[in-house]
Amino acid sequence: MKTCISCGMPIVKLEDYPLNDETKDYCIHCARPDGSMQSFEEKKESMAVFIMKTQGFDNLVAHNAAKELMRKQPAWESYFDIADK
Amino acid sequence: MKQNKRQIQKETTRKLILQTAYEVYSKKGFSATTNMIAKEAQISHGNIFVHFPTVENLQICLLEQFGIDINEQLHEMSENNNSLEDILYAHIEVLIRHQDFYKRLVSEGSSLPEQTKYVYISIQSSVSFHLSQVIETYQKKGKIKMLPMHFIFNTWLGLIHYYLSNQDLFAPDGSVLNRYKKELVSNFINLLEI
Ligand SMILES: [Zn+2]
Repeated sequence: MKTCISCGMPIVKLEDYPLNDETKDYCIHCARPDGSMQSFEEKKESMAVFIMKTQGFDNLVAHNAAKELMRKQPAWESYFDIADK
Repeated sequence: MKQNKRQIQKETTRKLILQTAYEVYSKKGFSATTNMIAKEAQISHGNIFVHFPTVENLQICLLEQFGIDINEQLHEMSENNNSLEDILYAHIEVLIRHQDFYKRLVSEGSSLPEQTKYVYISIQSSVSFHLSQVIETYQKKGKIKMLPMHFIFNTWLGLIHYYLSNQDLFAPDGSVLNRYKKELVSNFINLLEI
């Protein structure tokens, strides 16, 4: 199964792709309105907001969790390589 | 060819360790030692660390597998415009398959190492993601109350976790979620419906 390189969610149907573009390897939730992929900071912020909205966690916990979720994803590998050095 | 055989052997051992660790943790909790896992898998203790550099690493791999399973089940559901009832059932069914392991996660979650805890959060996030998509559609259509998403999600999880952690009171034979799933799903929806 294809999974999003930015958030790890399954990409199965046409609707999972940004602007229905099947050549993309990131999902609709990781795309900007114009179909391009969100930046690291944008994704971290939107993920933290999502965690707070759906699970009600503390602001700092949500931001840390968002960052840790991204650490596992191929799209952000280089970011963590640099940040960890 | 020889290299290939070795790789297959390596992969088989890795799977054996993961499967055994899953069973041992389900039975004894996350404080179970790697010694116990090695004994149960009938391999040398050092062999575990050839495949998993640390205990934490082993636990994270296990949790990730569990997370992938949940994610795939729920994604399929929310794809096909399934009902709230369907998705709640799908969630419970995945948890039933992993009941002993999940119960350990819930009761020992707060004492797990930081990184492992984040994997746990990511698993719950994928559940809340799929649930929130259905909930939002229902709210837009005016089918259920406009309660905050996190409150709906936490109420649902709280309910399941309460039954699980008091399994001995609700279902001494152990199959608590299986026994109460109908009641839990239908009454939870009743609470939400307008
Ligand atoms: Zn994504």
